[in-house]
Amino acid sequence: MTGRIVPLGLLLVAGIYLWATVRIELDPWSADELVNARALPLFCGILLALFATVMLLRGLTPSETGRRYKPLALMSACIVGFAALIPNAGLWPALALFLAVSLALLGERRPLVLTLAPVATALAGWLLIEVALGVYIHPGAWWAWWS
Amino acid sequence: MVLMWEGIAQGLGTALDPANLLWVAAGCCAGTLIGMLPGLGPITAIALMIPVSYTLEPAAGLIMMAGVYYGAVFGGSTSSILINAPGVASTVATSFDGYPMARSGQAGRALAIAAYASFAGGTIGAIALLLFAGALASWATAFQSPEYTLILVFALSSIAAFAERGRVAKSCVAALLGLMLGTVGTDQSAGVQRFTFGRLDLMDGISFILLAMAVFALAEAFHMLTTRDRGGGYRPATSVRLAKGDACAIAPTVGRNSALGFLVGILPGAGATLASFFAYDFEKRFNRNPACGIAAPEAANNAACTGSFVPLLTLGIPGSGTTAVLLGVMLSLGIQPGPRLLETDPAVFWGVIVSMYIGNLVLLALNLPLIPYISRLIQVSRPVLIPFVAAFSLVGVYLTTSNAFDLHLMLGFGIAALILRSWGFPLAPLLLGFILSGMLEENLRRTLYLADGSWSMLLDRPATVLLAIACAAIWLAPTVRWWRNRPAEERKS
Repeated sequence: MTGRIVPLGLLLVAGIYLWATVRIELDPWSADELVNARALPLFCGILLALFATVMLLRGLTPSETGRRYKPLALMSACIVGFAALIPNAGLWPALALFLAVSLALLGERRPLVLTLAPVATALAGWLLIEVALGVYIHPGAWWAWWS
Repeated sequence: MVLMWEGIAQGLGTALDPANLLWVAAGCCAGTLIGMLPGLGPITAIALMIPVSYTLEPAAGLIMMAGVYYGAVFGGSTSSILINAPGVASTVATSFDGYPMARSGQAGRALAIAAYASFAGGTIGAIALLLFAGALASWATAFQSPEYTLILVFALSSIAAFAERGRVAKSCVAALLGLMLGTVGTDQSAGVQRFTFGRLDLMDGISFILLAMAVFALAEAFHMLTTRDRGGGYRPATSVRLAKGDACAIAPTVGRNSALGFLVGILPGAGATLASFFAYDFEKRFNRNPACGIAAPEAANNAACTGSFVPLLTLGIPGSGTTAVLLGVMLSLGIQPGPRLLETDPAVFWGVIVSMYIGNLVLLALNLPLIPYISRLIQVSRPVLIPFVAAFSLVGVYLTTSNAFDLHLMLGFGIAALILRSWGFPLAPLLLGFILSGMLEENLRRTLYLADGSWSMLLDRPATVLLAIACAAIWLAPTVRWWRNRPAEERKS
């Protein structure tokens, strides 16, 4: 059964893609053209559906087994948190926090690595990107009063 | 010929500029450091360095990236030899003889053989590139949309032809997914929205950097996160020197396998991996010396790296995952690779080619004495390495798009890439399909427009007929292979 999950997923992707393809609004003059905005997507969607169907019938065997998904879930939560934090806290504070939390979650326990490495990385990034290269990055809503 | 020498002189001028020399050295060092980390290969190294390249002049940015490419290939060989952890497929063959040599206390010798063979392979490749690239670029100026359409079809077809045994369908699916992702956003010809689902964030399409970072850097971090470390244990190398007689023994091996590697590298879809396996297999048929077993794949994969620049620089078509990332970098830097690059930006064209040779020289001069020290980086534990790889890729994407939505998209692509990888789908064809998608659609439309909607133009020119035959041969190759390899009982019946 597990060997059919990925082909099923691919078939679903192909189905949604083809459904979205037929909903592409064409201009009146390009509707009669042989190769218009729908042509390549239609070709790719149909071909993917065919490949997925064959894979579904034959089944797939995983090339790597025994993965641990808990660390992946934790890291994904960290990334979602990082993305949510940037608009408010700004890129560099969010980066320092992301590094500290993910290091701790992955089992790092040395206090120096947990504190110094994230702060030094964020500081180095800020110095290189904003100070040395002069790239403007929004400081974040929480620090807006500062600027 | 005069033009070529003028070009080489111009290239030398660009590459020997002190700032560019510094960037090629920095690229080599960064590439070696990143490539040495288990699991991180040339594509990841280039992807992680993209934000840095944006801050440089186009020529300097590209020269640095060439250094990163070489450095990462060399760095990958180091981890293959020292800890039997070939991060990328192109250095797997090096570990066959390299790791046993390191285990027997000859790590320094194995690294020296790899370094000199890589240098020689890269140098021979760079000389071949100097000789052929200009000529091929001049010839390619006669190419029009029909030729480009078929070259692109040929490049996509090659993905299937050069896929590993049993992975043809998976490679095709990966390429199709790439083509599909390439269609997201505003259609350049008709101006209509495709697959944006009403989101403004998707109107400009999916950023190439986002996809490259997600599929290679972030997915690699996820892969490390979900698997157990199977490294073979660190074998320190105190001094990096050849043994007596090694130079004479490996010289012919390096010569023949560099030529082989360069030719394989030119083929779209083949790349350094195939070159290194071909070379190892070829060499082991008549040579049992383990020194040659290291030299052959090393010379071949470095020469193949240079060879893969031929279609990129002269036709603007990437032949491998790494050159697909490089093409994206070039486009982002405002450089349009292709036959016109020689006319529009000769300094970049020749500068990159010459800097490849200089990059090899820098790599040898800088890395040989430093290898015993920088190889300690291999000992960095995964709990420390993974957050930093993830953080660099996320920050790299945020710096180029300034959009937090892209980080969520990146996470989704990273997880999808991990799933595909777990089920044996190769990821390089996905990026290749993504890059080629827009080009293919544009050239096909232009061809049909020029021919008033008729497909005849695709087959009424000598070059297109040749390319069509090549495509047909590629499509038929897996069937012929299956027919020849089918079981004897089946053949009798």
